[in-house]
Amino acid sequence: MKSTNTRRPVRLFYWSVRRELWEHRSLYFAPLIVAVVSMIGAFGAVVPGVVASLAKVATLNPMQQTSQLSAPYSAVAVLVMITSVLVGCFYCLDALHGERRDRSILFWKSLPVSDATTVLAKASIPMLVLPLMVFVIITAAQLVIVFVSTAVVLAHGMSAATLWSKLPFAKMPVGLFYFLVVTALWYAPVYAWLLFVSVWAKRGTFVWAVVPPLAALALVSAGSGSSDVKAFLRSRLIGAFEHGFTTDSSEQTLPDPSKLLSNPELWIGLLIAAGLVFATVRLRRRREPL
Amino acid sequence: MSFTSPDTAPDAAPIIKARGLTKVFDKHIAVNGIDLSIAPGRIVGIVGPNGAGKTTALNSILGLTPYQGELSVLGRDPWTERDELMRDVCFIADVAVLPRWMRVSQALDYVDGVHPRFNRAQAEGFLAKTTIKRSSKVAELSKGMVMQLHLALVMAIDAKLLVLDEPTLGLDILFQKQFYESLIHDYYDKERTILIATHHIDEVQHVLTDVIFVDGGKIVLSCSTTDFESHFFELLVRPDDLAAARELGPIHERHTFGRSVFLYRDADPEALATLGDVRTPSLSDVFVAVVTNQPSTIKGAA
Repeated sequence: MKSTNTRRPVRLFYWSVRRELWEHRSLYFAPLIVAVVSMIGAFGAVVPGVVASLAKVATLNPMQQTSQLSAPYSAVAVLVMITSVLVGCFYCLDALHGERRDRSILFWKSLPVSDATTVLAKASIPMLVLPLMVFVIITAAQLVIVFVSTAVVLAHGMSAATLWSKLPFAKMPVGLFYFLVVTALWYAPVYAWLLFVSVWAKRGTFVWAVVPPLAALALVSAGSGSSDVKAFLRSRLIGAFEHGFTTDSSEQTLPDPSKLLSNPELWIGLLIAAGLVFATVRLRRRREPL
Repeated sequence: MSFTSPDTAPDAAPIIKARGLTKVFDKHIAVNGIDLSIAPGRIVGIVGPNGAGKTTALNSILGLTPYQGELSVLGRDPWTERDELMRDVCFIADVAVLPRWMRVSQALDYVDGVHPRFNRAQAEGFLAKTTIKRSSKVAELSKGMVMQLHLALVMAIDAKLLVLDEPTLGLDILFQKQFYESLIHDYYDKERTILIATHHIDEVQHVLTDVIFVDGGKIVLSCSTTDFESHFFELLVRPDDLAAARELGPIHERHTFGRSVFLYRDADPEALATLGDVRTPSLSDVFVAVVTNQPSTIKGAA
């Protein structure tokens, strides 16, 4: 035996995740390309301005100084995160459909990897692996921007002290990590729904993923008044930030785990996600090539 | 290529045991109450026309589909205990199922990673006999090479049961021959059981120890190939003895190139020899006779 029985599930999970990354290289290429492009954008537009803004920040209050100077770092982070969520959604929609389309499901099923391991490995891609990769990519991009801005400031014969003292070095990665966790938890039901559609639908996965939820919401809104539905969609699709963070009296945005964890919407969403993942495992058990 | 069947003890615990195995799709009965007992160390051919229920029966055995009736594979219920079963069972469902994006090296890494009974050195050894490059993607390989790769992966797995469903479909004759030769010479060791479903009967005839004919979801004939040779005879009837030959009750008649060829089941070979030349029929001729199940005359290009 190559591995002991206790380590075997870990080993199967590890190789299942690795094979997903072999197949879907866009999972890391897309965020990486967006990071590089937005970094170049930051150099082109913001870094030359760093000299001017450093001169100007002296006139602002400390909070504004920080937000002004950290703007390019946030911009890169937001662009890469949006990319990763989109990539994660398209990945999920294809994850259990592609293997049936190209008949490779028969190869995967000929090996001693259970449907639960396969589905959990696939679910872990948008919920665990992608956020971790995004954290590394964004942090690396931000470090590059720090060094380039510092070089620009020094080249202009100015002191980098203001820049370095105003940038929230500790807060940025912690806040980013927390935001990635919030996003993963908040979008879990969305990813799980897409996985479910990819194992359930024979064709037209995109239509099945989008139309039934919208139709259901349209029906609800016809009954109750559309503002509820709009609020629900807004909250679920772009509300991760406001559910996880609080803006305090001094307009500083802070991570607020207790606000997040006390939100019943989070737990209902996670419960739905768990149910959908369970259903996906059960369905894959009976799945054959298309 | 010749192959003699190892006669395993009949009381050895069967690898596969089925009683009343049935599978119904909507209104169509794909498998209709099959009874089966396959001993270890056999190479069994499941032969039947398209739609006979071969693949459905194999899918039940492999735990890919739920079924009715009793079925036990290596002492396990393949539907409820599939995860455990797949450590001892391997299958090639189709030559074209290796994922096209995968590199040869990745296929080796992956199977090595997930399969506790995979012997990587052995798989590398099989691949060394081919022209397949480690860095190639499956999509870049010819159909024959994909088969070689898949066979190299599967043969390096120390499984107790190997199931092959139409493994050589779409391959040219050279690859077909090579496939079965590798299987018999490099893999089969008299303890493993191999189950091959195909409708290319003559291609597998020489490697089988047992043959099962299925048609319409039922088993129409099941016997070992040695029994087959002692039960079925083909007689090239001398023109003057046609009436006498017909008296002996052939199960099938055909006429080719001016000769009449009669097929007999359980006839006395010495009596037949007085009426013409007796020989062992091909599986495909017996298959046609058993499936049509009535003496009929097929006019050849005389």
